[in-house]
Amino acid sequence: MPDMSRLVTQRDLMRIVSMGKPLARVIESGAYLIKPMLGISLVKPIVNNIVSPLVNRSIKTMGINLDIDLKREQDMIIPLATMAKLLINHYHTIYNSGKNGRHVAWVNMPTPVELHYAMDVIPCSTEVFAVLESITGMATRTFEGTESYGISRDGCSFDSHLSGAFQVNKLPPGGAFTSFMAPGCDSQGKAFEVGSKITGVPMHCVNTPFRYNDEDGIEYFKEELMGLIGFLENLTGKEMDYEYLDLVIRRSNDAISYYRKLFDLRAAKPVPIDALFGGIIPYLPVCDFLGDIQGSTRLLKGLCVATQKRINKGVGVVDDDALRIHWCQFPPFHDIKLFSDMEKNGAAVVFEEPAMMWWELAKGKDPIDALANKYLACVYNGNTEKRVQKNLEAAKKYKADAAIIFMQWGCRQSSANAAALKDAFNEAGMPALLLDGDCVDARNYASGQVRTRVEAFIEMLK
Amino acid sequence: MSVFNEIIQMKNSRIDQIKKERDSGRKVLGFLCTYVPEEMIDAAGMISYRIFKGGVSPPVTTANAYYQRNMCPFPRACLGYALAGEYDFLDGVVSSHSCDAIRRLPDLWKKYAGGPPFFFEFDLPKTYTTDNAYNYFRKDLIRFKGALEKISGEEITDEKLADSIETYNRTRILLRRLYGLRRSLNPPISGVEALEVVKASMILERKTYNKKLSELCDELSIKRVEPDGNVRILVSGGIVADGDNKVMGLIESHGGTVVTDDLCTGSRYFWNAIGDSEDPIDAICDRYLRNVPCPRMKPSEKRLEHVIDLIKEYQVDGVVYNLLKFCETFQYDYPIFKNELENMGIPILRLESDYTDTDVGQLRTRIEAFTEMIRR
Repeated sequence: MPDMSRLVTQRDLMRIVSMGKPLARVIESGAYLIKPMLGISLVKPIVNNIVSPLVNRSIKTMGINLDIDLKREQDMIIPLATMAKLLINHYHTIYNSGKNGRHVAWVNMPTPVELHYAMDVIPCSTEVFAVLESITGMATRTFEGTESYGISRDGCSFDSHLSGAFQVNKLPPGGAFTSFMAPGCDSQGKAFEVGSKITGVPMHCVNTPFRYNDEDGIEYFKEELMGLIGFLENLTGKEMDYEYLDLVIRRSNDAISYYRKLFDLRAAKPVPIDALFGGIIPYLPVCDFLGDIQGSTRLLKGLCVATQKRINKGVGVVDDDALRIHWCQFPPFHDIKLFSDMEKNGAAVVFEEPAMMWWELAKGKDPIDALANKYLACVYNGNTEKRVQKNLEAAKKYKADAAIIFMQWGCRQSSANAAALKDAFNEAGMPALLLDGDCVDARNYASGQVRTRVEAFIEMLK
Repeated sequence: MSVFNEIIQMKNSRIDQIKKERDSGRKVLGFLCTYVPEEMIDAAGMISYRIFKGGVSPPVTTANAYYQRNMCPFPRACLGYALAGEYDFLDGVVSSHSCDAIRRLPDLWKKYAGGPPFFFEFDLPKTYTTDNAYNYFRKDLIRFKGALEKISGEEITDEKLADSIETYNRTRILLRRLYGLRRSLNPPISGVEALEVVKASMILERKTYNKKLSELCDELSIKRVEPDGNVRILVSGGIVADGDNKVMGLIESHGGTVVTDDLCTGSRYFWNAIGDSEDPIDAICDRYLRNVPCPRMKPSEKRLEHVIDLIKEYQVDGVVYNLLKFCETFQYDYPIFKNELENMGIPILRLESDYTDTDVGQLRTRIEAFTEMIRR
């Protein structure tokens, strides 16, 4: 297996995206064509014996450690194709933004990207870019760049990846940094600050109050949002159109409504959809809407439709009596196979905590009030009690039997109170497992050790 | 006994003294960060005491059961000492959201160490230059004032605040005088000793401390010191805990003299005085929010400017960038500092350390090589 991280450069990424752009529509149309044919008995052997292995080989060639059972996931073919098209189009737009006079702003997660869309500024999540590199095994070289710059491996890899991406010239082009400190996370802000200094690209920080639910904190935050609007207005030379912002927020709410619906569907027994399609893939559209809010809505709706079909057929990824797992923190993106391995052992993830970063609908007396309500609700913003409460509510609602709390190496704000979260689950009668690892940097992750611990946990609970 | 030894003796017996004062009804508030306005605690008639014991591994090991191990050792030490009952003499804890690890400390303290009945957390804005940040922090100060009045039963008047500001400003002026003496070619006090004097200010009763500090400055200003040929070092970093003299001690026993610093528990604690204002709350807000920033604050350029000024003022030969392991914010600033200082021709050594002794040999070797290199 070639080391993708050494083979793929910025230029290669641009070429892939350029080639992918005309293919993107073909991919999606092809999926619509193929899907109905999968029910035909003559086609099934072709799918199982030729197409499925070919797809999985291609996935492995891209560096993704995953096996997709196309027979089982045939309902997901269209959403998968929609996602591929959205991703390709998003990065194609970003790479050609200079030529086309479009503004790109690097953002972290979560960020009130509704403001960006309203100002026709393309938000590009640096953390999603890190995740894509991690999934495809390309992140190692980038992290070597981070270390050559003088930033150690002890930092949160979601953010330290950014410094490396500049060093090895991999980051897609962008004209501004808009750092949003909704979880109050130090490393997001610092990584952006350093990035701004390296590149000379202007940066704006939106500060989030810890006191997310008192009047002073809310007013402070709304002023911060107005500050971001001012920054975007300076960047673009245009004024914010608040009526259009209202429309953007309504579109964003549509997308989030389907996102929430997907979780409601995952509450069914047997678990109808696995963590890849139910949790991981949906992160991509909700984080920065991949340049296309309505396209993201279509993707999320497609996932809901596919999941509902499964529920109607009584089809699940595990048996009825399988363990339902509430997963805290992001997953190890370089080891997505962990989740299918868990399913083989009789446990399926039904909920992921980071969903609660984005999933409030933006509702309020005006657009700024609406966005404030949405983003202040982020699960990681505020004290430990808030995090505990939200997780316990979600675990109850989505009928989890046990929790796995993944402690992202370098994520101080979530790891610092992980033990308290575990104790809270235990006090509520739910077993919980603390796992050390790294979501993005595979070098800080012991796959064998993680699997041993997860297997033992599942075994103990059965 | 020298004045320095007197100050250290006072520092070492401070807790016993506090316990006696507490028995007679005075309340004691511990504070965790340089951004906490101690003047307000003093104006409320309460004792302020900095929570910053550290430098040894046992309390860190204790805290590992509750705090993930990739946290900086300082908050882990704080929690470990709290779990051991070392801070049971406190009636309250005041912190600010200075970093992600410290932000979670009050929650863990309350949950696992029981904790005193009063906790206050400053919601410190990261971007400190905007009117929005000023207004929000000012509201926090008013909220703090109300909380202090409630717990102390004393009204905090503008006059009391003005008195406290004057006392604490006097400390700042005297500490700058002390640091000023280290500008000389042969500093009359070592870096370790100077830092001990600064740390003492964070726990001693101020008026008594100010008197002693003034005497110390007088004593040192006439002290004759033989040249030692050491290279002049500036130490930049975060908190150097009370009990953690590892890196400074190694520098000063291996060819260097720490002539100044850029530390949370060093120059950044006292460098700027509170200015005049009709409203003391405005004066406190302005000073604390816009002091030489720690790297958690934005923009952080002011800290680099402070370091460059110190380098010139103290004729520094080299900088030791002293990171506590797992300290994110200081870590990210390092490449920027390195780039700037190397452009100025100032060598910089990055050291990462924790509260164990396992790295002493390695640190010693690197420091020796660094001072040797500068000497050549």
